[in-house]
Amino acid sequence: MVDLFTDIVKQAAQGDMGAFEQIYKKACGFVYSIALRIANNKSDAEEVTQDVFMQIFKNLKNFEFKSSFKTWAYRITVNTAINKYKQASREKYHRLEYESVANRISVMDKTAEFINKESAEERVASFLRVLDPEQRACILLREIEGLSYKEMSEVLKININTVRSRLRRARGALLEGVTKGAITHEV
Amino acid sequence: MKCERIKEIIATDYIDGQLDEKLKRQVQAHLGICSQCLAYEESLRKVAVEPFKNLEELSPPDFVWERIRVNIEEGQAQHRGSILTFLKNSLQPFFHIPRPAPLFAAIAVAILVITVTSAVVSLNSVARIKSYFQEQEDFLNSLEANPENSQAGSGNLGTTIEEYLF
Repeated sequence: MVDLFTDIVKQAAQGDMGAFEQIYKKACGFVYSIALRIANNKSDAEEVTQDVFMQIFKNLKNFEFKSSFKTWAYRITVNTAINKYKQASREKYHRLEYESVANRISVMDKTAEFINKESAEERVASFLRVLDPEQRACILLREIEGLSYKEMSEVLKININTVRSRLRRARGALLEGVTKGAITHEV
Repeated sequence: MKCERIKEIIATDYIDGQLDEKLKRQVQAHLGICSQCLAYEESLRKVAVEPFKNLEELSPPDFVWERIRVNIEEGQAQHRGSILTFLKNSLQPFFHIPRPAPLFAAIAVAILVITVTSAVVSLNSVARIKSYFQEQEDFLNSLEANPENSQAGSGNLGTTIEEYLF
Protein backbone atom coordinates (compact mmCIF):
# COMPACT_ATOMS: atom_id res chain seq x y z
CA MET A 1 0.00 0.00 0.00
CA VAL A 2 1.27 3.43 -0.88
CA ASP A 3 0.78 5.76 2.04
CA LEU A 4 0.10 9.46 1.73
CA PHE A 5 2.74 11.91 2.76
CA THR A 6 2.81 12.44 6.47
CA ASP A 7 3.53 16.16 6.24
CA ILE A 8 0.54 16.73 3.95
CA VAL A 9 -1.64 14.97 6.51
CA LYS A 10 -0.18 17.15 9.27
CA GLN A 11 -0.77 20.35 7.28
CA ALA A 12 -4.34 19.32 6.54
CA ALA A 13 -4.83 18.58 10.24
CA GLN A 14 -3.99 22.26 10.89
CA GLY A 15 -6.91 23.24 8.64
CA ASP A 16 -4.90 23.80 5.43
CA MET A 17 -7.47 23.31 2.66
CA GLY A 18 -4.80 23.06 -0.04
CA ALA A 19 -3.21 20.11 1.75
CA PHE A 20 -6.60 18.53 2.32
CA GLU A 21 -7.43 18.88 -1.37
CA GLN A 22 -4.23 16.95 -2.18
CA ILE A 23 -5.33 14.19 0.18
CA TYR A 24 -8.76 14.17 -1.47
CA LYS A 25 -7.25 13.90 -4.96
CA LYS A 26 -5.09 10.96 -3.92
CA ALA A 27 -7.75 9.11 -1.95
CA CYS A 28 -11.07 9.94 -3.63
CA GLY A 29 -10.66 7.23 -6.29
CA PHE A 30 -10.45 4.28 -3.94
CA VAL A 31 -12.96 5.79 -1.51
CA TYR A 32 -15.55 6.34 -4.25
CA SER A 33 -14.87 2.97 -5.92
CA ILE A 34 -15.36 1.04 -2.68
CA ALA A 35 -18.38 3.16 -1.75
CA LEU A 36 -20.04 2.58 -5.13
CA ARG A 37 -19.35 -1.15 -5.14
CA ILE A 38 -20.65 -1.66 -1.62
CA ALA A 39 -23.58 0.77 -1.76
CA ASN A 40 -24.39 -0.24 -5.36
CA ASN A 41 -25.84 3.18 -6.10
CA LYS A 42 -24.20 6.34 -7.47
CA SER A 43 -25.91 8.97 -5.36
CA ASP A 44 -25.30 6.91 -2.22
CA ALA A 45 -21.65 6.50 -3.21
CA GLU A 46 -21.35 10.28 -3.65
CA GLU A 47 -22.87 10.82 -0.22
CA VAL A 48 -20.60 8.20 1.31
CA THR A 49 -17.54 9.84 -0.30
CA GLN A 50 -18.59 13.21 1.10
CA ASP A 51 -19.21 11.74 4.58
CA VAL A 52 -15.90 9.87 4.54
CA PHE A 53 -13.87 13.01 3.75
CA MET A 54 -15.78 15.06 6.30
CA GLN A 55 -14.95 12.40 8.92
CA ILE A 56 -11.32 12.32 7.77
CA PHE A 57 -11.04 16.11 8.02
CA LYS A 58 -12.62 16.24 11.48
CA ASN A 59 -10.44 13.45 12.84
CA LEU A 60 -7.12 14.26 11.15
CA LYS A 61 -5.80 16.04 14.24
CA ASN A 62 -6.39 12.83 16.27
CA PHE A 63 -4.73 10.60 13.66
CA GLU A 64 -1.63 9.20 15.35
CA PHE A 65 0.01 7.39 12.40
CA LYS A 66 -0.18 4.08 14.30
CA SER A 67 -1.67 2.56 11.15
CA SER A 68 -1.16 3.87 7.63
CA PHE A 69 -3.41 6.67 6.44
CA LYS A 70 -4.78 4.39 3.74
CA THR A 71 -5.75 1.66 6.24
CA TRP A 72 -7.55 4.29 8.31
CA ALA A 73 -9.32 5.70 5.22
CA TYR A 74 -10.32 2.19 4.09
CA ARG A 75 -11.82 1.53 7.53
CA ILE A 76 -13.89 4.73 7.51
CA THR A 77 -14.99 4.08 3.93
CA VAL A 78 -16.04 0.47 4.49
CA ASN A 79 -17.96 1.29 7.68
CA THR A 80 -19.69 4.33 6.16
CA ALA A 81 -20.60 2.46 2.98
CA ILE A 82 -21.97 -0.57 4.87
CA ASN A 83 -24.08 1.70 7.08
CA LYS A 84 -25.35 3.55 4.02
CA TYR A 85 -26.20 0.29 2.28
CA LYS A 86 -28.15 -0.96 5.29
CA GLN A 87 -29.98 2.34 5.62
CA ALA A 88 -30.76 2.34 1.89
CA SER A 89 -32.02 -1.24 1.97
CA ARG A 90 -34.83 -0.08 4.21
CA GLU A 91 -35.93 2.34 1.47
CA LYS A 92 -35.22 -0.08 -1.37
CA TYR A 93 -38.60 -0.08 -3.04
CA HIS A 94 -38.58 3.66 -3.83
CA ARG A 95 -34.97 3.52 -4.90
CA LEU A 96 -35.50 0.84 -7.56
CA GLU A 97 -38.38 2.76 -8.98
CA TYR A 98 -36.31 5.97 -9.23
CA GLU A 99 -33.21 4.28 -10.64
CA SER A 100 -34.97 2.56 -13.50
CA VAL A 101 -36.31 5.93 -14.67
CA ALA A 102 -32.96 7.68 -14.18
CA ASN A 103 -31.12 4.95 -16.10
CA ARG A 104 -33.49 5.18 -19.06
CA ILE A 105 -32.91 8.93 -19.25
CA SER A 106 -29.11 8.86 -18.91
CA VAL A 107 -28.41 6.03 -21.40
CA MET A 108 -28.95 8.41 -24.37
CA ASP A 109 -25.73 10.35 -23.83
CA LYS A 110 -23.03 7.76 -23.32
CA THR A 111 -19.90 7.22 -25.43
CA ALA A 112 -18.76 3.69 -26.44
CA GLU A 113 -15.85 3.82 -24.01
CA PHE A 114 -18.13 4.85 -21.22
CA ILE A 115 -20.54 2.04 -22.04
CA ASN A 116 -17.70 -0.55 -21.94
CA LYS A 117 -16.50 0.76 -18.64
CA GLU A 118 -20.00 0.83 -17.31
CA SER A 119 -20.79 -2.68 -18.50
CA ALA A 120 -17.70 -3.94 -16.66
CA GLU A 121 -19.01 -2.19 -13.58
CA GLU A 122 -22.47 -3.64 -14.08
CA ARG A 123 -20.95 -7.08 -14.41
CA VAL A 124 -19.09 -6.67 -11.14
CA ALA A 125 -22.23 -5.21 -9.56
CA SER A 126 -24.19 -8.31 -10.58
CA PHE A 127 -21.63 -10.47 -8.79
CA LEU A 128 -21.50 -8.30 -5.70
CA ARG A 129 -25.27 -8.16 -5.46
CA VAL A 130 -25.45 -11.76 -4.20
CA LEU A 131 -23.20 -10.88 -1.24
CA ASP A 132 -24.04 -9.16 2.00
CA PRO A 133 -22.20 -5.83 2.56
CA GLU A 134 -19.58 -7.32 4.90
CA GLN A 135 -18.74 -10.00 2.33
CA ARG A 136 -18.61 -7.35 -0.41
CA ALA A 137 -16.11 -5.36 1.63
CA CYS A 138 -13.93 -8.46 2.01
CA ILE A 139 -13.97 -9.30 -1.70
CA LEU A 140 -13.28 -5.68 -2.71
CA LEU A 141 -10.39 -5.22 -0.30
CA ARG A 142 -8.84 -8.50 -1.40
CA GLU A 143 -9.53 -8.65 -5.14
CA ILE A 144 -9.61 -5.01 -6.17
CA GLU A 145 -7.53 -3.21 -3.55
CA GLY A 146 -5.10 -6.15 -3.20
CA LEU A 147 -4.85 -6.07 0.60
CA SER A 148 -3.23 -8.97 2.46
CA TYR A 149 -5.19 -10.88 5.10
CA LYS A 150 -3.33 -8.98 7.81
CA GLU A 151 -4.17 -5.60 6.27
CA MET A 152 -7.79 -6.67 5.85
CA SER A 153 -7.96 -7.67 9.51
CA GLU A 154 -6.66 -4.18 10.46
CA VAL A 155 -9.14 -2.39 8.20
CA LEU A 156 -12.13 -4.49 9.26
CA LYS A 157 -10.99 -4.84 12.88
CA ILE A 158 -11.51 -8.60 12.84
CA ASN A 159 -8.99 -11.41 13.31
CA ILE A 160 -7.32 -13.13 10.36
CA ASN A 161 -9.34 -16.33 10.73
CA THR A 162 -12.56 -14.27 10.52
CA VAL A 163 -11.16 -12.69 7.33
CA ARG A 164 -10.60 -16.21 5.96
CA SER A 165 -14.07 -17.41 6.87
CA ARG A 166 -15.74 -14.31 5.38
CA LEU A 167 -13.78 -14.69 2.15
CA ARG A 168 -14.63 -18.40 2.00
CA ARG A 169 -18.32 -17.74 2.48
CA ALA A 170 -18.30 -14.86 0.00
CA ARG A 171 -16.62 -16.95 -2.69
CA GLY A 172 -18.96 -19.83 -1.94
CA ALA A 173 -21.92 -17.47 -2.36
CA LEU A 174 -20.57 -16.24 -5.72
CA LEU A 175 -20.16 -19.81 -6.95
CA GLU A 176 -23.66 -20.68 -5.77
CA GLY A 177 -25.03 -17.49 -7.39
CA VAL A 178 -23.70 -18.55 -10.80
CA THR A 179 -24.80 -22.15 -10.35
CA LYS A 180 -28.34 -21.15 -9.40
CA GLY A 181 -28.56 -18.43 -12.04
CA ALA A 182 -28.70 -15.54 -9.58
CA ILE A 183 -25.71 -14.01 -11.42
CA THR A 184 -26.84 -13.47 -14.96
CA HIS A 185 -23.71 -11.95 -16.59
CA GLU A 186 -21.56 -14.20 -18.76
CA VAL A 187 -18.74 -15.81 -16.79
CA MET B 1 -6.44 -34.39 3.74
CA LYS B 2 -10.11 -34.77 2.97
CA CYS B 3 -11.73 -32.95 0.01
CA GLU B 4 -13.76 -30.73 2.34
CA ARG B 5 -10.63 -29.41 4.05
CA ILE B 6 -8.85 -29.01 0.70
CA LYS B 7 -11.76 -26.95 -0.64
CA GLU B 8 -11.62 -24.67 2.41
CA ILE B 9 -7.94 -24.06 1.81
CA ILE B 10 -8.50 -23.54 -1.92
CA ALA B 11 -11.20 -20.92 -1.25
CA THR B 12 -8.84 -18.79 0.82
CA ASP B 13 -5.08 -19.16 1.22
CA TYR B 14 -4.43 -21.27 -1.88
CA ILE B 15 -6.31 -19.03 -4.30
CA ASP B 16 -4.81 -15.94 -2.69
CA GLY B 17 -1.25 -17.28 -2.77
CA GLN B 18 -0.87 -17.12 1.00
CA LEU B 19 0.09 -20.76 1.64
CA ASP B 20 3.54 -21.88 2.72
CA GLU B 21 5.40 -24.11 0.24
CA LYS B 22 4.78 -27.37 2.10
CA LEU B 23 1.00 -26.99 2.30
CA LYS B 24 0.85 -25.64 -1.23
CA ARG B 25 2.55 -28.82 -2.56
CA GLN B 26 0.09 -30.98 -0.59
CA VAL B 27 -2.88 -29.17 -2.14
CA GLN B 28 -1.38 -29.38 -5.63
CA ALA B 29 -0.79 -33.10 -5.16
CA HIS B 30 -4.44 -33.54 -4.15
CA LEU B 31 -5.64 -31.55 -7.17
CA GLY B 32 -3.57 -33.87 -9.37
CA ILE B 33 -5.64 -36.86 -8.30
CA CYS B 34 -9.09 -35.32 -7.44
CA SER B 35 -11.09 -34.07 -10.43
CA GLN B 36 -13.87 -32.76 -8.21
CA CYS B 37 -11.55 -30.48 -6.20
CA LEU B 38 -9.79 -29.41 -9.42
CA ALA B 39 -13.14 -28.43 -10.97
CA TYR B 40 -13.99 -26.53 -7.80
CA GLU B 41 -10.71 -24.61 -7.95
CA GLU B 42 -11.19 -23.70 -11.64
CA SER B 43 -14.80 -22.57 -11.08
CA LEU B 44 -13.84 -20.50 -8.11
CA ARG B 45 -11.13 -18.66 -10.05
CA LYS B 46 -13.58 -17.92 -12.87
CA VAL B 47 -16.37 -16.73 -10.63
CA ALA B 48 -14.76 -15.24 -7.55
CA VAL B 49 -11.39 -13.93 -8.72
CA GLU B 50 -11.25 -13.12 -12.43
CA PRO B 51 -14.33 -10.86 -12.65
CA PHE B 52 -12.68 -8.44 -10.21
CA LYS B 53 -9.31 -8.26 -11.95
CA ASN B 54 -8.25 -5.21 -13.98
CA LEU B 55 -11.12 -3.05 -12.87
CA GLU B 56 -10.48 0.64 -13.18
CA GLU B 57 -10.58 2.93 -10.21
CA LEU B 58 -13.59 5.21 -10.50
CA SER B 59 -13.66 8.96 -9.85
CA PRO B 60 -16.42 10.80 -8.06
CA PRO B 61 -18.07 13.74 -9.88
CA ASP B 62 -16.41 17.15 -9.35
CA PHE B 63 -19.31 18.48 -7.31
CA VAL B 64 -18.49 16.04 -4.51
CA TRP B 65 -15.27 17.94 -3.72
CA GLU B 66 -17.13 21.27 -4.01
CA ARG B 67 -19.68 20.10 -1.44
CA ILE B 68 -16.94 18.90 0.90
CA ARG B 69 -15.00 22.18 0.54
CA VAL B 70 -18.09 24.31 1.17
CA ASN B 71 -19.08 22.20 4.20
CA ILE B 72 -15.62 22.47 5.71
CA GLU B 73 -15.31 26.21 5.07
CA GLU B 74 -18.75 26.87 6.53
CA GLY B 75 -17.81 24.80 9.56
CA GLN B 76 -14.57 26.74 9.97
CA ALA B 77 -16.39 30.09 9.66
CA GLN B 78 -18.93 29.04 12.30
CA HIS B 79 -16.11 27.86 14.55
CA ARG B 80 -14.27 31.18 14.19
CA GLY B 81 -17.53 33.03 14.80
CA SER B 82 -18.24 31.07 17.94
CA ILE B 83 -14.72 31.72 19.31
CA LEU B 84 -15.06 35.48 18.64
CA THR B 85 -18.50 35.55 20.24
CA PHE B 86 -17.19 33.69 23.27
CA LEU B 87 -14.23 36.08 23.64
CA LYS B 88 -16.47 39.13 23.17
CA ASN B 89 -18.96 37.94 25.78
CA SER B 90 -16.21 37.02 28.22
CA LEU B 91 -14.34 40.31 27.95
CA GLN B 92 -17.31 42.67 27.66
CA PRO B 93 -17.71 43.40 31.41
CA PHE B 94 -14.06 44.48 31.63
CA PHE B 95 -14.12 46.83 28.67
CA HIS B 96 -17.66 48.19 28.86
CA ILE B 97 -17.86 51.71 27.48
CA PRO B 98 -21.37 53.23 27.40
CA ARG B 99 -22.52 54.58 24.10
CA PRO B 100 -22.34 58.41 23.83
CA ALA B 101 -26.01 59.16 23.17
CA PRO B 102 -27.49 57.37 26.21
CA LEU B 103 -24.63 58.72 28.36
CA PHE B 104 -25.30 62.35 27.37
CA ALA B 105 -29.03 61.85 27.82
CA ALA B 106 -28.47 60.44 31.30
CA ILE B 107 -26.23 63.40 32.24
CA ALA B 108 -28.78 65.92 30.88
CA VAL B 109 -31.60 64.30 32.85
CA ALA B 110 -29.47 64.33 36.00
CA ILE B 111 -28.64 68.05 35.58
CA LEU B 112 -32.29 68.87 34.94
CA VAL B 113 -33.43 66.97 38.04
CA ILE B 114 -30.79 68.67 40.21
CA THR B 115 -31.64 72.13 38.85
CA VAL B 116 -35.40 71.73 39.27
CA THR B 117 -35.00 70.26 42.76
CA SER B 118 -32.68 73.05 43.93
CA ALA B 119 -34.98 75.68 42.40
CA VAL B 120 -37.99 74.25 44.20
CA VAL B 121 -36.04 74.06 47.43
CA SER B 122 -34.86 77.68 47.14
CA LEU B 123 -38.38 78.96 46.30
CA ASN B 124 -39.77 77.17 49.37
CA SER B 125 -37.06 78.70 51.55
CA VAL B 126 -37.79 82.25 50.36
CA ALA B 127 -41.50 81.74 50.90
CA ARG B 128 -40.91 80.38 54.40
CA ILE B 129 -38.62 83.33 55.31
CA LYS B 130 -41.10 85.81 53.94
CA SER B 131 -43.95 84.23 55.86
CA TYR B 132 -41.83 84.28 59.08
CA PHE B 133 -41.13 87.98 58.69
CA GLN B 134 -44.75 88.62 57.91
CA GLU B 135 -45.78 86.81 61.11
CA GLN B 136 -43.29 88.82 63.17
CA GLU B 137 -44.47 92.07 61.66
CA ASP B 138 -48.10 91.20 62.28
CA PHE B 139 -47.31 90.30 65.89
CA LEU B 140 -45.46 93.57 66.53
CA ASN B 141 -48.25 95.56 64.91
CA SER B 142 -50.80 93.83 67.09
CA LEU B 143 -48.76 94.68 70.23
CA GLU B 144 -48.58 98.31 69.27
CA ALA B 145 -52.25 98.55 68.39
CA ASN B 146 -53.58 96.81 71.56
CA PRO B 147 -51.16 96.81 74.56
CA GLU B 148 -53.79 95.13 76.90
CA ASN B 149 -53.66 92.15 74.73
CA SER B 150 -50.02 91.87 75.51
CA GLN B 151 -50.77 91.83 79.30
CA ALA B 152 -53.63 89.51 78.74
CA GLY B 153 -51.26 87.55 76.70
CA SER B 154 -48.71 87.50 79.58
CA GLY B 155 -51.56 86.57 81.91
CA ASN B 156 -52.03 83.66 79.69
CA LEU B 157 -48.60 82.45 80.57
CA GLY B 158 -50.21 80.92 83.64
CA THR B 159 -47.45 80.74 86.36
CA THR B 160 -46.91 83.06 89.34
CA ILE B 161 -43.29 83.61 88.64
CA GLU B 162 -44.14 84.68 85.14
CA GLU B 163 -46.81 87.04 86.48
CA TYR B 164 -44.24 88.45 88.91
CA LEU B 165 -41.62 88.97 86.25
CA PHE B 166 -43.87 90.47 83.58
